Amino acid sequence: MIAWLSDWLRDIIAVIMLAAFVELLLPNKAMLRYSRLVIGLLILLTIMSPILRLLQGDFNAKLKDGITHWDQLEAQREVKMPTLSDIQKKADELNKQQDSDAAALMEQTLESAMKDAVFKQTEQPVEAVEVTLGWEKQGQKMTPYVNAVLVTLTAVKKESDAAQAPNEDDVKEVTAIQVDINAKTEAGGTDSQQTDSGKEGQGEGWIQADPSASKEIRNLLAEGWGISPGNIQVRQRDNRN
Amino acid sequence: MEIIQIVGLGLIATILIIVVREQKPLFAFLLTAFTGLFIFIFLIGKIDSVIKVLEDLANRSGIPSIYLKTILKIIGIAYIVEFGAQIVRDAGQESIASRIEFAGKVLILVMAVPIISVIVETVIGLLPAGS
Repeated sequence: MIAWLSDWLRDIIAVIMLAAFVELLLPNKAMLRYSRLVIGLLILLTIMSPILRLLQGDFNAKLKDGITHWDQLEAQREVKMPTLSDIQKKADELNKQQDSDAAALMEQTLESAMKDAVFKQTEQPVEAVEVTLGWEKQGQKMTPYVNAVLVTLTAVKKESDAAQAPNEDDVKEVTAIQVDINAKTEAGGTDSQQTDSGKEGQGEGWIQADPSASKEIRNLLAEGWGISPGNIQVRQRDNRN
Repeated sequence: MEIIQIVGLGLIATILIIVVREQKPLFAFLLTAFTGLFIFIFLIGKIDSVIKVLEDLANRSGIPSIYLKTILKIIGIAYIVEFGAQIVRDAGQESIASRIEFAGKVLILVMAVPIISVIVETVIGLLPAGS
């Protein structure tokens, strides 16, 4: 009993001496009140330690848990601060996304504008116009240019009327982008020999458009948008399959 | 005889600052800041021995190490805040200096949160037992 009492008293004296030391060490008066509060709480805790131990068991462990928890909270907050390189990386990604979005929007507007123009000028039944944009470097920035244009004319109605049902299958083939890319490379070749039929070269479901009409469309697009005629391809939906 | 070095440094710095202040106030401020920094760093090593005494006291009396850690953190925060605020105040930015001191006070109070929570829990635990 006496040993326990002397332990307790020694704890209290040590903490009070510590508090006196700290008040001496503190640099200015402004901090004194706040530090006095914390140190007073510590002294209170030491004086109350027998009651605390009686009521809650090991309160020191609980205190330590609380303090480490607060420390961890602060550490997490620090970790979450993004670095400058992270921000720049994110900005680059956003820029790229914005560019591609703008390019897609531009493709769409070009497509609709070309479709309207072709329909108005040549009165050909245009089904779809696909524009493929390429990127070229001009100084620091990448600027888009029209890489290839693929004009699809609707099927000629008079040959047969069986074209309605399998239309949906054909639509899927339109979405296959590979057709466009091939068309770009083959465009020059098919251009020079456009007078012969060339049905096999156009892939499935497509036939070469009427040469005069395709020439008209080509000239129109080349004049209106400054695209070289070699990059423009005109095809017609084949209504036999 | 470190005190002579420090006081000598302070006096020389003061004279230089008074001379320079008329022509270039910016350089006078820089001189003030660097002199303060130098004295601070020079003395922070001396505080080390005081802290060792404190640690020794804590170890021998058997108070939990968490108490000492908290107290040392308070001292550290107080010193750093005082130093930063004083430099800013020398530059004439009283409002920023008071913000720095405010931050220091808040951080010291944050230290008290775990202690307060333990005491409050105990008091709440006491109440039903008493009634």
